[in-house]
Amino acid sequence: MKNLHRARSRRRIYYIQPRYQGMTALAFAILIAVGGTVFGWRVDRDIGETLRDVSLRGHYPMKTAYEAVRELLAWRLVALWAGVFLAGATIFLLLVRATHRGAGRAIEVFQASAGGDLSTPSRTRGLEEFARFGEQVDAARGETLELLREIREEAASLASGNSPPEEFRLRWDGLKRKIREVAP
Amino acid sequence: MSRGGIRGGAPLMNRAFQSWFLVRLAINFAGGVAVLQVILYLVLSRPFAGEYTDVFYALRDLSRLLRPILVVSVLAYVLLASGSTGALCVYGLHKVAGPLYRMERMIEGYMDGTPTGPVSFRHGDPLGPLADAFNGWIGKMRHDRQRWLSRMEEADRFCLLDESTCRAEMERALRDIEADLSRYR
Repeated sequence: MKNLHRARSRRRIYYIQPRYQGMTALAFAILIAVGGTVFGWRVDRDIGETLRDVSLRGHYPMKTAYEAVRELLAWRLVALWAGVFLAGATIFLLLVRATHRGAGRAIEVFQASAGGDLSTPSRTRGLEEFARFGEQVDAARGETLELLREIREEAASLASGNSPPEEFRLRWDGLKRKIREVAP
Repeated sequence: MSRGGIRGGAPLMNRAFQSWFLVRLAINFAGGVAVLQVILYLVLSRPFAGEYTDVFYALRDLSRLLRPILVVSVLAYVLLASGSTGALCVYGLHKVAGPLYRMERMIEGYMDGTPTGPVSFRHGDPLGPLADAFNGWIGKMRHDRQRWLSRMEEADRFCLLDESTCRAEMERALRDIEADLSRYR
């Protein structure tokens, strides 16, 4: 019962990354504003003209102004919806592509790292968020490579057999400690 | 390093997610357009009152007042559609933003030396393959680390025999480790 209550009351966390979701929302907002402006300009011109023409016609069979502009307005609204949606869909598909490229590159970098390549820069392109993540991954790989180089140099130095037994034992234990630092 | 697509694993942002987002986007925009239609309908559908002259002036006034009416209605459309689309971006894209944030924290922890557990995301999260690739790398590093430590401990056991055998075995272990490490570049 308690668990059920806890599960029900557990709040879902929605992460917000201003650079990712915020920039996408901003792009859509700009698109909507541009669409709205174009719509307003066209409707102002066309419906204004229609209302002026109707007023000069001298015969008014309609009961409201809406009846005179209904069809024109409907087409403008459909055009607004279609135009904004098509442009929005394009923005979204570009975002998907950029996300796919960024994440795909990061995956390739991890796979290459598992194969021993810790030095080739990730050069993650696409979204800034993934470029930043790629830099972070590169830094982690760089640190790991530095540690592995130190271990390798120490192992090579010890294997040369020049150290006296006491010093050898100390460095041997030190090397073990260093190896334990790999992928904690 | 290969420059091709993602090898193995589930696709990122699958078709179902893309379709879901596009349908929501279409509904959002349609909602905005519907609000615009309602406002313009309410303004333009007021019945004409009076005689011929009144209708004439009503139509002339309406054509003059159309611009401010349009400015207000378009503003309402922009605010409503942008707000709902912003909410959709937060809700729909948190499945990418959240895992990416967790991965960043995980990498930071790894760099600080914090013990790193395997990363797992909810089933169907678009960045699942990224977590798998990270786990694969860390898993391989741990496997190598364990092998080097085992090799050193194996050499340590020879110290129970005599000093020279122990030293020779340790040096052999170190050469093995050095050779193993040479694949990392």
